[in-house]
Amino acid sequence: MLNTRRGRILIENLTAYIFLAPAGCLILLFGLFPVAFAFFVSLHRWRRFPDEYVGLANYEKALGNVGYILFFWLGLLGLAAAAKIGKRLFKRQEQGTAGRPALAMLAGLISGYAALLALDWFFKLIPVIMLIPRQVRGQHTSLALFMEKLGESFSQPDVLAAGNLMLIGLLLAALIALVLLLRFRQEISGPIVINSAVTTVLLIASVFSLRLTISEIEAALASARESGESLPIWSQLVFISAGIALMALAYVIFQRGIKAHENRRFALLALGGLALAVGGYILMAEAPAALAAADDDLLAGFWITIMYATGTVPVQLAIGLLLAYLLFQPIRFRAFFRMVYFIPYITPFVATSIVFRVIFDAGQYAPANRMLTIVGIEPQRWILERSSIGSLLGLPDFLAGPALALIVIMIYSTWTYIGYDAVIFLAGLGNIPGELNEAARIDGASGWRIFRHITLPLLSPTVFFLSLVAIIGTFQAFTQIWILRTGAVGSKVNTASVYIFDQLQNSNRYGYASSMAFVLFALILLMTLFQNRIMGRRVFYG
Amino acid sequence: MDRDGAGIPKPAGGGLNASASRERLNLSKISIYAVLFAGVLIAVGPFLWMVSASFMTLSEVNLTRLLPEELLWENYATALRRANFLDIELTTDPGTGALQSVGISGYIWNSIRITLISVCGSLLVCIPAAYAFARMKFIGRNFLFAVFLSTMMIPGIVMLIPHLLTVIWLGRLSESLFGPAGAWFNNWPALTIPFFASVFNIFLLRQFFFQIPEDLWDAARIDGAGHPRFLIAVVLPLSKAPIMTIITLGFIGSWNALMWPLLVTINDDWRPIAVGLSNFVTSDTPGDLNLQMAASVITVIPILCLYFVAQKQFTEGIAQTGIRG
Amino acid sequence: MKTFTCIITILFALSLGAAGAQGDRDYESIDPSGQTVVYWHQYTEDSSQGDTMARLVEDFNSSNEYGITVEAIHQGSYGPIEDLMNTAILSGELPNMVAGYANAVAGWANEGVVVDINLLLNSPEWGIPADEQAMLNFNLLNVNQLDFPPFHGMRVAWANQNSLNVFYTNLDIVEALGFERRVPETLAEFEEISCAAGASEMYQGYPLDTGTSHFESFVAAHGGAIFDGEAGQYIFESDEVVAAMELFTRMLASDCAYLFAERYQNTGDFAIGLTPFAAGSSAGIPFITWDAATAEMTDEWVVSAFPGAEGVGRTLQLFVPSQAILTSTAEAEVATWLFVKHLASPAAQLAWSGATGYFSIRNDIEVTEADFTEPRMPYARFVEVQGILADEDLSVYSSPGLPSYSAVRGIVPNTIAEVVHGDTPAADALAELNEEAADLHDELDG
Repeated sequence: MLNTRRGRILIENLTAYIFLAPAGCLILLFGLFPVAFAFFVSLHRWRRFPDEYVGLANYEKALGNVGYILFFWLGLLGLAAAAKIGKRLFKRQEQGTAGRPALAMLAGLISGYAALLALDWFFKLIPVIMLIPRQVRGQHTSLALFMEKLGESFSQPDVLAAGNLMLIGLLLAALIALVLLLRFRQEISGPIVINSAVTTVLLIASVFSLRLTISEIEAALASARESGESLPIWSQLVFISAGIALMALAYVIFQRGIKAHENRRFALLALGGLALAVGGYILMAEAPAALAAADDDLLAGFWITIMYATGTVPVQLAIGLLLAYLLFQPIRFRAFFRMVYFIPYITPFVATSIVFRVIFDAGQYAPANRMLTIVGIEPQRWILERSSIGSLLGLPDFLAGPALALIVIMIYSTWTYIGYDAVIFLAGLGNIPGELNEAARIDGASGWRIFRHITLPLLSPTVFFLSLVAIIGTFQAFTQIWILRTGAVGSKVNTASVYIFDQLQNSNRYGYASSMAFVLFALILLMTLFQNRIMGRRVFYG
Repeated sequence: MDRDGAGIPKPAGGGLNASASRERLNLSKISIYAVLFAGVLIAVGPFLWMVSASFMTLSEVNLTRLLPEELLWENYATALRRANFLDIELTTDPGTGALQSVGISGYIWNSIRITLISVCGSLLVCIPAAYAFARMKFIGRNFLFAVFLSTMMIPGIVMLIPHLLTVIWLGRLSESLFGPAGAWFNNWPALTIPFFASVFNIFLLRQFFFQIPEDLWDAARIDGAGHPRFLIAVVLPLSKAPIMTIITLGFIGSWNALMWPLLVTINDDWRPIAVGLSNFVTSDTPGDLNLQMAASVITVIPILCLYFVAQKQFTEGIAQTGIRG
Repeated sequence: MKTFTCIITILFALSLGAAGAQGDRDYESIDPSGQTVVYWHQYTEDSSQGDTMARLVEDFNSSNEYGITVEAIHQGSYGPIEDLMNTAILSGELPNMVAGYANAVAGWANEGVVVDINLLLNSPEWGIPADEQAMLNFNLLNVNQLDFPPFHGMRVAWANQNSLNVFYTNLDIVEALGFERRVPETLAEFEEISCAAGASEMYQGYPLDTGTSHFESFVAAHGGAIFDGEAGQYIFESDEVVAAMELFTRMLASDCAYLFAERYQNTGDFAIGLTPFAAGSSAGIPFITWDAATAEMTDEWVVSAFPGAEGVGRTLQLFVPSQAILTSTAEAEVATWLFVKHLASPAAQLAWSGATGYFSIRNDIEVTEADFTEPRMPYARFVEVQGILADEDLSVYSSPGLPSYSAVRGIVPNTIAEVVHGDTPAADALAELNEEAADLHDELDG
């Protein structure tokens, strides 16, 4: 039986799952569970232990009314994604792919629902387990006691009810899977099962998100009415959504316009411009009011993060590329250079930060200041300087830019990662076929032109990879900033992640910190997708 | 022509018309070296000062001298002792004087143990997973891979508390199964197991496994080998370089880990070196910068040695996996 | 979702019930024999504090009649200890005794893991009898007696490492700048001398710390505080706070003061004769002495309380990091208390105070020159600092022992930085700070 094609497929599947099992379990425990848990936390008031459920209040505190709008959009996006996958499913069914798509879809539906039931059970169980330390207080805390309490928490009435439901769901799913495997093994398409499961989960989750958002908005409106204020959440929601939709539309039109035929191009571009202008205007007009109740420190944190990213990523990539390109020339001691450039990356932050503190000390004789004095510039206060670089140069306010202290941190961060980038660029350069350069050289192309027209395009995947990693890295950056910041600079160097950590560590505001972390996560995800779309198109995969 | 980075094909330049433009080349070569050496200075300048300061007297450090007047080796002895980095106790038989047992403790020893476990564990977990993603067909492959990848984008800070909870309760479970040795908390599992399944490693290896020619698999299958045997007998021997890359990166990450170990260790039984260094540097009393520098240098040396040994294959591994986004 | 809330509420009630039960705990008929007490502290090995604590622990372990064993573990500074305590509270496996400042301990007490020491202190069986209690310095000990809700008179910790935020004056510099050779008596004098130093070639002005406790010292010097215990609210908009902020702004703007980067750089600069004044913990005296000797600085310097504003006398801020006893079995709690009691005994206090230069919590011991073994601090300095405390007109300030203070302490430096750099007018910045502090107070102290 195992020698048939079906048998082989079965075995291949089983082997693959066995191969994946350890990694999968660990990712579930240390990757997915934490995310789900943190989301759960973000809907609560939560110090060290769970407190009351507060709905979207933490998000509202972080982003003002934009918090509601984000969740509304999340719900809509979920619905759209579900619709898209669902549509594909039905198309497939119509095409009459071999087998029994309806059965597969049923299997998917049930397993998707079972997954949600499991999630529900899980969220009922976790707080109960979390509170065990409180229950055992004043007793001798032995392992046996904890295990006993753990056992008890599974039989809490609510947990038990949810658990039973989940068991039924899982059993049903397993049963169907078994039937499918034994009875219709050949005729079932895996993707259909998975897609319909995903659709189910998405559908239910987004309906949940929408209902939550709407009820929260209603509650906020009701309380505003009580205190006699008007709260234009709905109009903000509509306007901001419209603004963003117009911007997206503009993007699509531009894309079309560039490809379009000569005589239609102008019209399309003009239309796109109009959409962009109107959308931008609406956003500019509505956003401040919607963000009025937002946490200023968080918004400032995002702004500082953006400055930090734009100040480090391009510089770091450019220098890394330059060094790698030079290293790639026929020179001696290449191994030595490669080794040395990597040193900053492998030295612990604790060690290097001390040196940077010495170099950029505010004292007159600190190395950085001595160098300035040689060039004839006034000594600066570096890591203590919260004035922006622009104001130090006498520029007007809107050109102010980051605080000098943040610049020092940028230098530090750039210094740390250049070597890493250079080594990876070097590897990327190595993958470019030498004949291309050779051919270009014979054609008489100059070094710069070869670099510009052959090397760089062929290197674009590496550039793409590194910039993606670097941008995600800067948005999550924490340690470099945490250890170089000084009290005198205040919050001028607090990127979003530093601010979030502060809330978690110093204030034990777990709920609030989690909600802000999710906003950050959403931002990173959005940027990654955006970068994928914009840059991904330009990447030449040779 | 040096080929120290195998996998890096013939470098550009040289070639047919090299002799024609030798003059220009020499000039440009000089400027290349100038830039490269400037890079070296910037890259290791701070590091070199760290080394230099570790030999200075305290007042020399405070005046930010470049070089010490004389090398104070005793800084290292003091730092080693004060920071509790390494402690070797030799027990000898009182009668014969023969060596009975060697007791090693201290942060360096802890870090070595932790690093070994987490690197080995990571290889054991990531290699099969990457292999499955690269070379096997199974239901939900792309879906699972997308799920894996998406976990890379989550800001680490939100994970702290849930990770703690997981470690606390899994540890209790394992302790009640395996006795005290099975504890997670303040023991190696809490310090290593969460890092076994590194998505980055899986991604890297998957990229490499993709490139292994299909012919090899066909040949192996004709010989009657299944996936496990193919993986062990054919794929692994071919993958030395990417594995070395993973080992090096894992070593660096594990050696420099600070925040997490701080939360899950309550005494020095398993506390790693970065925590030791940080405790030494940020103790509540004003510290001695020269000793801090000496301690930092001690911390870096093992990593430098490893990178020195592994760097060729490390670079090769990066080149071969062709990290391409 | 409602069901979650429901369970959580039920469990919350349950746990409160447990805490309540523990409040009426009966310690009298308990046998603490054979207990092990785990103690997390921050005394670095290889320091006189660490060595002395190790010796005191050893004394207790070998001499106590119940066979109690104390296991003392150095956990780094207060930051790591607080992180570890978070972990311990989440896991439920707590040490028996832990070091921390009043506000951190209050946060732990808020989670219900701290024992009310009053129950043990006044216990007929285990406590300290009234006549001996009269020998204790309750000025110090009561920093940890939290008389406001939700603690209602709980004694959350026991002081053992008492130091003061003192004011250092270099008399030679003051004289060289053309002023009378003495410690400034008012803040106005202090400002004037600092400005003269800032304007001179040789010296620098006052090394201004933007840290919260330093700021509080100056608020206290104006006769105010940042928290009003009776009204139960932060008062960052009070006149005294505004005045302290204005002083900082003025001094920085006219080069009478400067900001510094490295920790302890202020006392470091003072020790090498760069500045006429500095402020810092009296625990830093050994380091100043040592730095001054290394730099061969021979100027005469003295330690005193802070000069006050017009109409306010001399003030001092107490730093009283303490040890909390954490909940466990009644037996273990009593065993831990017995160790605390041992530390409070005259012999232990004499050894501790003599070796570390911290003040004793007892009034009935006197550290003589022979007892004084702290190697880096001259005995005369110790006597000098003791003398400050003996001043009858002195008013003493300590930071609010509130869980929210940890968070508030984190944001005050931002406000100070914003104001002194002229980014935001003092009134606006302080109003915003007050609002944030009120939020934190509502959220964290309930």
